[in-house]
Amino acid sequence: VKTVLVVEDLPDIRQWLCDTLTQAFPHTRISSAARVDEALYLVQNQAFDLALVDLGLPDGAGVEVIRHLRDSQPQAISVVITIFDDDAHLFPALQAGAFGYLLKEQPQDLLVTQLTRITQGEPPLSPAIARRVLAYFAQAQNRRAQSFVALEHQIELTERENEVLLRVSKGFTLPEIAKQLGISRHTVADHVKQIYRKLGVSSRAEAALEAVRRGIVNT
Amino acid sequence: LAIAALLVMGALGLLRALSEPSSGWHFDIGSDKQVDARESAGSGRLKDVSAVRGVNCQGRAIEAAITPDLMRETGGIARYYSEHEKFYAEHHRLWELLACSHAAGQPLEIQHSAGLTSAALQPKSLSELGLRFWFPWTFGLLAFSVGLAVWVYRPVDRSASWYLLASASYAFWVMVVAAMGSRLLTQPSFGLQALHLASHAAGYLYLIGLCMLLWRFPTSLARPGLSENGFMGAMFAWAGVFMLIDAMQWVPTINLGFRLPNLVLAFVLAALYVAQWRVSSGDPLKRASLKWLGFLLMITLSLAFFTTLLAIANQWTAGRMAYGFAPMSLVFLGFVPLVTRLKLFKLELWWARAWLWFLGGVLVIFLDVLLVRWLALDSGAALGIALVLAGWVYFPMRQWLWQRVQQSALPQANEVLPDIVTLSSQADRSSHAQVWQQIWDKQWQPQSLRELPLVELLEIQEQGQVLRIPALGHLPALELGMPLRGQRLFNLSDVQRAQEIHTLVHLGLEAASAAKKGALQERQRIAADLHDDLGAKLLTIAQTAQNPQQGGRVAELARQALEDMRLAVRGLSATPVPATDLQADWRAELFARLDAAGVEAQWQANEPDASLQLSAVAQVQLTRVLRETLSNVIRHSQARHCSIQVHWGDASLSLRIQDDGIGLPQSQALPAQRHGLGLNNIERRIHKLGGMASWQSSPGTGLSLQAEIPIRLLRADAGA
Repeated sequence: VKTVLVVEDLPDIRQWLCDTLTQAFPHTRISSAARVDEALYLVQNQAFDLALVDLGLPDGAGVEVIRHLRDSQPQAISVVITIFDDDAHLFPALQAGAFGYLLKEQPQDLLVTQLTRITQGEPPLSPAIARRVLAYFAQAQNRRAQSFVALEHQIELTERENEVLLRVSKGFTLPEIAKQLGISRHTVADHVKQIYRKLGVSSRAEAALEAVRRGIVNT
Repeated sequence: LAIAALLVMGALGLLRALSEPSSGWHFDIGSDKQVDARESAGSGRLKDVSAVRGVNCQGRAIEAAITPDLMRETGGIARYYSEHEKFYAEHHRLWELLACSHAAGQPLEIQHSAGLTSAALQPKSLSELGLRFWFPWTFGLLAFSVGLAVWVYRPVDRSASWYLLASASYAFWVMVVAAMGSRLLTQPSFGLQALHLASHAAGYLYLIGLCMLLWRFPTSLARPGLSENGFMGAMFAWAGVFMLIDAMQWVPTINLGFRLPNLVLAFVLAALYVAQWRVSSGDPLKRASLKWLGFLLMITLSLAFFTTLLAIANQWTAGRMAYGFAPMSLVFLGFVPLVTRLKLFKLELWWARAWLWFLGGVLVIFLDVLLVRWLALDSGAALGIALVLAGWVYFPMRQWLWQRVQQSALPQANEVLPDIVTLSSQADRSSHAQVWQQIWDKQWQPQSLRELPLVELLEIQEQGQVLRIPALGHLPALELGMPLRGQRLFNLSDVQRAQEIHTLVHLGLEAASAAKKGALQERQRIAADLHDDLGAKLLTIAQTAQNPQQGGRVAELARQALEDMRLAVRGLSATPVPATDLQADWRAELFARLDAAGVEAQWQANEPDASLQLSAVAQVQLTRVLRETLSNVIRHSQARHCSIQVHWGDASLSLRIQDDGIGLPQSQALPAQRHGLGLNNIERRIHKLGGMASWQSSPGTGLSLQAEIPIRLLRADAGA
């Protein structure tokens, strides 16, 4: 991790996040923004490996930054930093391409551990989020079944990914799931990563599908 | 006296009809326009009767020719007085033959196409009268009885007297028609022409009676220079002069001698109706009476008019005219509700529609007659064309008329919906009474609108002049005076609509109060949450922060405060959560936290009922109990193992959290000293949910919490 973007409007918290990042990734270059427009400007002019984005910003929603980053710099990892961990707040950000989330009030050492895990490809996944993701893919399948337009690359979860999601939604931990399915913990983490990725891609595909649908109506 | 008059009238009609001797044969015009005779007690038929033979009173055999003209219902159908005279002269001769043969005990010989048939003469029996007699007779007497009843009911009212005159005239007229029309062959010559003239007089009296009625009812039209007596004098003079002309046959045709002057009287009646209509402007009660009366008059006079027209056009024979005139009694029968004023306002609902319906029928008949008379079509084709024309001409016209009627209609109920929404959404009640009145004012534009202290039922009162609306909560009861600024009365559809609006407002207010109550409860819950948890923690932070060595404790408290806030906010969204989901969240959180703290977790739980939904409060409080207990285990117990048991029973949820740590120091077993561990807090939360909590601790074996909470109190539908 060489370059990091921090988008946070409270100066103290921003500073604290920068400190935490320095602890987690020494020798990294940190750019920070307090507003959505500043963040978008930075995203246009610089390449980032990691972005920590607060959702409630003075001039808009942090989701915009995440979406923009996903579209222009797919290799960058966006992470939501928030004080609200409920799925209603987080799910839209995950759909926009965020790869996990962090709670702001956690002790610094815990944050460092979690950041390292995320950048190593193991994002956190709560049962509530897992339920939302399951419901989302079930609905997407329904919508696709009803639509006239067939997508070239339909985004669907594999049976294994579904299995993992289902178990997460029941409250099992990743090591437990690995044991239950007879696979390594690393593999389970990979599945989770794939689920995150597919959620983002599928949402984008859904948006495209919606656009096509509207196009048909309009023309 | 009234009953006697009624009996006399009925008996006279009956006697007159029975005065004819019966030969057992009924003479009528057959389908081939020739005279046929049918056996009155059997199915025998004599075709093309040309003459009858009998004896005169001197005993000499005489013969009388039978012609189709003789079979006409009355002489009055004729156009010229000469025809009319001939009709009566021939009937006079027939009667002589019939009566003298009967007196002499001689049979009647009937000459017909198949030869000569001899028939013995007997007195006419009641069974030979037939429906042609009983139908008009019944209606005549019914109408007369109504006239008499009104008169008995209001003997001093001159309107009632005029009404009686009209009904008596009508009854007499119908009696004459019934007796003459139901004859087998002829009628006694005695008074034949006198009766005919009397029936004409009755026709005049009928119209004069109705005109005088309309002169007085519902408003007297008398004014300076135009007294009632003057008007009455003019009417009688007109009738008298033409009766004289009719009797003396000073004009060649009956049209000029009787029908035209009668028609003039009908126009006078119509003019009087229009005058009454204009005078009663702004008085819906009188207007309603007039509408009803006008409707009846329209039907009866049109029926009389068209019956006469059809009788002349088709040269109807015995009996049919009587059928046509009988329904004219409607003007009397229909007067009953008007007199007693029974639910008069019901009229508004259907009078226009009934009237339009009636007009349609009248048009078909009119076109039919027109086509038969002037285009000389045969009656089947004429009726068909008349129906088609009526369909094309009349129905669009009816549509137009109906729209005209509808145009005066009041706004639809949904136009007051915004006001109802205002009532139910506006917290400030000061303007409610005004909006409430505005709803009713907009809907009916009543002549008056006032508050009443008490109204029990939503109903119409005072013959439709007012509509009373019961109070609704803080909205007062109202009384609405006549709608459309007094142009009409309230009717049943108004009541129905008022009921709908009343119910809508009621539901709106109820929904508003339920929402208000819910919001209040929610506010109280949040306030309690913030005060008990967040407030206590912030206070501790404020106190502790002064001690620089307690930095770690402050950070911990602040984090807990944030967690409290998060839960309070989650409770705000207040959506019920399935117990299975909540349990999954607990499991994930417990493992994550204990794992991070290096404590080995043992989880034991059964699956809750999949349909069990927990309220937001239960969800938040239970989660806090688990979190705080877990925090204690992690921070203070020095435990290496922690077991969590969750059991969803039929009636209660039991939680058991046990660690193998140091347990409570002996001194902390006392409630006051447990405060530092927040055990009181945990206990309080469980009590708040309606459950029981107990702690067990002994040094070395750790601390355990056992909690039992009734599931019914946790349910989302537990009645917030």
